[in-house]
Amino acid sequence: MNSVKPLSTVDRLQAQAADHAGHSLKLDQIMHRFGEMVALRDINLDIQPGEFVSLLGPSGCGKTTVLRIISGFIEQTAGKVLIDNQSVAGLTASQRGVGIVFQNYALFPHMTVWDNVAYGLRAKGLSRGRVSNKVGEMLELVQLGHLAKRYPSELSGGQQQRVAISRALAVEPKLMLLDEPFSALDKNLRLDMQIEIRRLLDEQGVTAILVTHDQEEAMSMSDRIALLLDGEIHQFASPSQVYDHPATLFVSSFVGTCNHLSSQIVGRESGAYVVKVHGGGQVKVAHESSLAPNAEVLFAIRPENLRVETHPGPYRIPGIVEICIPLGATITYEVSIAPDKAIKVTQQRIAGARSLQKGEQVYLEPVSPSACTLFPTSS
Amino acid sequence: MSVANLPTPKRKKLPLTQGQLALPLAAFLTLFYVIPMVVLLAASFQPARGGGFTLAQYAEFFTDSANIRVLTLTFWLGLQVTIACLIFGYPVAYFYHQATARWKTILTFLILLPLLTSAVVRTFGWVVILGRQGLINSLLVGLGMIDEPIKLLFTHLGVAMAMTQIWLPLMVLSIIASLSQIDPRLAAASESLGGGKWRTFWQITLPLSLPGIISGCLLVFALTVSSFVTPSIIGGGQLMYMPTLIYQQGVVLLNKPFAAAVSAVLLIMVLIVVFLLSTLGQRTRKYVQ
Ligand SMILES: Nc1ncnc2c1ncn2[C@@H]1O[C@H](COP(=O)(O)OP(=O)(O)O)[C@@H](O)[C@H]1O
Ligand SMILES: [Mg+2]
Repeated sequence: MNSVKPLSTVDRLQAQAADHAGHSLKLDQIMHRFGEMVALRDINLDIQPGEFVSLLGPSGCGKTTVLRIISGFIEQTAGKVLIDNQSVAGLTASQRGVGIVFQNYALFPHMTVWDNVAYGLRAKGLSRGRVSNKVGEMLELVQLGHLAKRYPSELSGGQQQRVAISRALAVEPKLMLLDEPFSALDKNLRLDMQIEIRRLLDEQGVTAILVTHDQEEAMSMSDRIALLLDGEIHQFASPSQVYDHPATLFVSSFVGTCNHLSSQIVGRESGAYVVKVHGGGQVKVAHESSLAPNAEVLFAIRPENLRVETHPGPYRIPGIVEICIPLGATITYEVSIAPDKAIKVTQQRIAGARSLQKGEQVYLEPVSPSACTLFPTSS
Repeated sequence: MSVANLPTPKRKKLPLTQGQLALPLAAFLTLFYVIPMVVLLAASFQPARGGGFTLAQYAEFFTDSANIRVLTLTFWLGLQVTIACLIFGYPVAYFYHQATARWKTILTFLILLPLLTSAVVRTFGWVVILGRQGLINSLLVGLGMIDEPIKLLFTHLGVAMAMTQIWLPLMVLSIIASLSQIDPRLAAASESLGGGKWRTFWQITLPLSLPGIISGCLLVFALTVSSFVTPSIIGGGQLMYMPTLIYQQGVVLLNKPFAAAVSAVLLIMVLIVVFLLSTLGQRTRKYVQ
């Protein structure tokens, strides 16, 4: 955290944050239909006070719809939204105390930065003096005090975003919803803003939900990630859990790069399954839930969880190097194990070390047998 | 006259420069607009008979109180009709803006329908409505609100009512265009900050639709004060407005220089209003991206 700001502000805000320390949010069996189309089905989320949760999923999966239901702009077809274990049914958007930061920031173009931040405070009916104190404080917090008289069109993207977040935080919302707030920023600025916003929300102790289709963003910012596909939550867990133990095949293919190999269970050995990969070789995989003997499965393993060996072994997959892609710190190989089946393998690149050549015979072995997953296939 | 405040969409680079593309229109306007205008202005500085330069026509116009009355009555009509169109038009435009797609189709039809009928036809419709045995009088008498039919036809009120109906669609369309430019997330942002429906309307929607209000007012005012058919028919012979005065002087009495001077005065009145409204519009320029 940088220490440019006078300490007094931070201290005061932290004291305030303790006062209105986070609120919890619970989505209880939310279902939503647009006409005939079911946009969301059976959404259950239990979010702790002060937690930062990402709602991750491809475009059109229903993320914005979830936010609009929480904020009260649309009413769910079925199910309940509870803030601090109280149902908010019947409360309008303006009564719920849910702050929103929009993708395009939605700053009021005809108002100055100052008036934008003051808007919610004036709507609350605060006295002139208190409005002015709070606005000053919020602008100081995002280091925009010197731009108070500007109009939004006279600000850069990052500055607009900081105005949007301070406008939303000024009214001390119970929850903060962020709908793809970083997608309009260029890459370097995006990282800065991600850090800054996470810091601000932590300081204020606000419970936040970030909607994004960018998995790196979700991974780096969140305490927990909820994966949404086609209106259903596939997994709700910590970033590392989601990455190492994807709950469904969708999660496995959506998050990071992953090899999916059709395989068959052929045995059990000291708590691990022996899996025969169609095309050649077998491996040992530690898997928690029980699978039927001889079951057909998809064996999911990340490229960086494979080690390249030069000698055959009982639990190695033989293959031939096809393509070699150096990426700076790492190097990715495409290894073909059967005429129409290739595996991606990522290795740390050691300076000066020889890299594998095209056509070379290699043997692949999982580095960690517990960071692989088996998905039963129906056939 | 331009509808200055409707935001123009951003253009991609075209093979021709925009200047070149504007050439045909520029030629057309020069031929049929600028030249006649210059001729008209030149005519207004001529004496009634013979040649030479004189301000006599303008002096004659401004020294006769009857002419001043025509000028103020015309301005008053323009103002009344503009305000009435705004008051009746804004709710319609707002309702249209909030309506579902299905309602929008129906409303579009209803709003455009009057524009598809000629002003003459609509004016005769108003003659029927305003007459002694017309719709309004029958209704009021029928409801027992008045004993005797009131005089509406050949009155200023009647002209203003008819003109309001005739130009209302332009106001509505202009405001709809402006409302549809407003990002719906702004209203959502206002509500999420605790702003109720009224605050959201007064603080966000209304100020941001100002460009549409201004261009609508410009259109309605300019078209009202230069209307000829409706004031002559509904106003009958008794009521004189600037266009009817121009017609009388230029076509009936063949006093071309005086008619030209009256035209110039009308033009200047319109330009002043355009200037005032555009200055107001300039202040909104800042936030119309
Ligand atoms: N107002 C609406 N009417 C009908 N369908 C809608 C509406 N809003 C969203 N949808 C549909 O619901 C699905 C989810 O939309 P949305 O929540 O916006 O997705 P995301 O934010 O994840 O991209 C999409 O298929 C979208 O077309
Ligand atoms: Mg969305």
